[in-house]
Amino acid sequence: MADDNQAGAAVAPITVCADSVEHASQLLQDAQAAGQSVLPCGNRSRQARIAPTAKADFWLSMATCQEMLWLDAEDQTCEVQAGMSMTGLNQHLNGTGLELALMCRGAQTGTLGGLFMSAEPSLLASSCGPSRDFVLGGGWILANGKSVRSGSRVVKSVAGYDVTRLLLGSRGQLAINSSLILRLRPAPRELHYYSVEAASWPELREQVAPARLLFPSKECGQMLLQFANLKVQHASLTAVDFEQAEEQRLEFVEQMTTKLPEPSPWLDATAEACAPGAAHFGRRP
Amino acid sequence: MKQDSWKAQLQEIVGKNYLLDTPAALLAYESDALTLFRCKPAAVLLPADADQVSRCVAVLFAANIPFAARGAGTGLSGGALVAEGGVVIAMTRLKKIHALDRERRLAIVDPGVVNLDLSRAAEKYGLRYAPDPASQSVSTLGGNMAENAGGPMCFLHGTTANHVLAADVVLPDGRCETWGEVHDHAQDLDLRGFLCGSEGTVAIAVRLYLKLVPIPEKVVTMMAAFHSIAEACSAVSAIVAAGLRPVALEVMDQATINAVENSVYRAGLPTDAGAVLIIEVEGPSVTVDHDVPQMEALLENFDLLRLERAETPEQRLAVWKGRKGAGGALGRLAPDSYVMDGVVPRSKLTEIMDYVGVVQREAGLPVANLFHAGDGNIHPHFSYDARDPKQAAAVEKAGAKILRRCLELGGSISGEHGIGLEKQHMLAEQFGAEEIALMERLRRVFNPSDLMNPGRGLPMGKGCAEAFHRHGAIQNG
Repeated sequence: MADDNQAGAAVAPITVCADSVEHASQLLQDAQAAGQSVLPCGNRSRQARIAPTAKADFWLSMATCQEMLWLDAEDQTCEVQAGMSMTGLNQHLNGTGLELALMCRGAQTGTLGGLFMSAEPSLLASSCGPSRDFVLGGGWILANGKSVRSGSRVVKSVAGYDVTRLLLGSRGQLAINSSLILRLRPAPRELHYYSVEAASWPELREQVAPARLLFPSKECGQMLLQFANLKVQHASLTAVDFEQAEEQRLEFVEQMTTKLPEPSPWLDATAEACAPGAAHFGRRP
Repeated sequence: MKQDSWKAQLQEIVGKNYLLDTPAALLAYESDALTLFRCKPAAVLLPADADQVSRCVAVLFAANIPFAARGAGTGLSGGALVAEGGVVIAMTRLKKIHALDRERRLAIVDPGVVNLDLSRAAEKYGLRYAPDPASQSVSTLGGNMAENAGGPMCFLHGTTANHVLAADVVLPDGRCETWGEVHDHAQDLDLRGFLCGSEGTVAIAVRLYLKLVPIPEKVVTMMAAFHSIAEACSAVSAIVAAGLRPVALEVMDQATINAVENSVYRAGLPTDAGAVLIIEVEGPSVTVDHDVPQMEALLENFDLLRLERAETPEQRLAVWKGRKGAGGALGRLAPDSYVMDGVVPRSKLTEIMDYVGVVQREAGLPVANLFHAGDGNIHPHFSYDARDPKQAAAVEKAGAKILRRCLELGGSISGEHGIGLEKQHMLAEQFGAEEIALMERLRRVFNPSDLMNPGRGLPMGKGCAEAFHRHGAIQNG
């Protein structure tokens, strides 16, 4: 437990880093017994954008749990602890020819647990699917300290309710994520970056069929494309320097603003179902 | 409330021709495509629109009558049956495609629209709906969503849950809500995700907002014939390990090939092969032209009996007619069929297929195998005669053994058919008591009275399950 004078102290005065699932579970049980409220977090890199409205007694961070629990390159799946970063994951995937096909704001600085729990929009969603489609299951700690698993390590399972998707979209209000079973995919053979001017969104979308399409907004006239072996026939296209494009890409990602919706009216009821009798995260017992 | 009273109210809502309660009319609704379980409902409603669904549900809720929504009845897990005295709400009259938005690649449809009809309608915009269960020419999109249906193309495109953006739903008390948003960046509680695959136990979808995908510039379908199913499985692993991304990787064994070739679904498959692997590659020409030769080179490393490309659209259609008609072709072999559904990590396919062979020999019943190899999703197909209690018991015992082996290999007891009534007794073998209890609590949040499709998808009392069971004994051993 440490004093916290940085951003976030206004929400909760201290941050406690759990070093294991068991530790986090014990901390939650102790907090419940002491009548303390808790806010789950990763390394709080998204806090400026996705700030909790509730005040709590302490942040409970999983950022130090960063292990690769298993990696099955043949089945293109892995399970990581919630504190793993995208950079850390890429290091583990180096040499496997696999990738996690996400391009999310703050992915390089935040934890994967934080990324998925905040349902960060992925700029690759148009071609690869939204971030939630890459999580097959995982480990969770409920507000009463109990640990549960969801989903499966296989790429297709409809056994029981899809608790994984429900918890991923909850922004940490229903459970603390302790691990993620991820679906990986072969990395592109080649990456090229191009800047394309198009008169309208429909024109671009109809005439260009890239393997990947990045766009900050539907209305944006200038788009940045990332694709492999693309033949563009009708759009004005200029190849750009890879390094420059990468900077532009990151700039777009960082500029993209996210308007978070009002919490679902079902939130309180599902929180009570997740941990009966326990105050849900950010709420005072 | 007296039966006459609630029936009269329902009849007033849907019209007298759309409330069925004669024994002959109810016969068609006593089971889905899994005939192991049967139960005749008290009545069947055929509402015309979302408003009628909502009002019917409100009446049933007030009268404390259990009810279940049903699409085309092609489900394979007994998911759309309702207990004696209950009411089936058949959604097949809600079959309008409300909008096809080319720019947003979005379809807004009624739940009773048939899967394939949506792709046909979207074709003129250069789009299609990707999930393609074998039943796609008859199954409805609402039913597909309730079971989170898959299909051969889901290896690349993902299952139904990946293609449902939002849904207008009727809650178990008749209230209406919209879950999800019509874009891929929703950040709130993912009720839409929870709804998909919930087997009609948390809400009834009355309008769906679906993602469409572009029709690819080029498609190449290949058929590789192997001496054995093990070699076909090894070839699947080799293709995936090479980083290639076909849209479909489908395996059929010799029993399936023979059934297909002796049926109207004949596709010119080699009857001397131990197994065939159907591979489909799609995308921009430049990608397909790169990947197909690579795949062919990989396949040439195996002791192939034959490797062919479907050169024309007609040849391609014939191959898929054979694959998608295989279930029907196998259905001709015996009075009854039991189509299993289990999943293993793809790398364990050979192992599970060996085990299916062992179980088949023990059971002494014919089994054919056709499966989504890319996803590790197996479908052993038992042919048997349900009139013989010994055969029926042997089939159920064999099915349970195969599913247990799937779990031992790190898999799941269902990849796309759902739990329904069929696999409730096995769910506790995949999940622990805490996980099952969590699912039960979540169900009660949305369906506190448990009137909406009661006892489906999660374990329930043995006596309750037996009420539906044709053979009177649930296989637990």
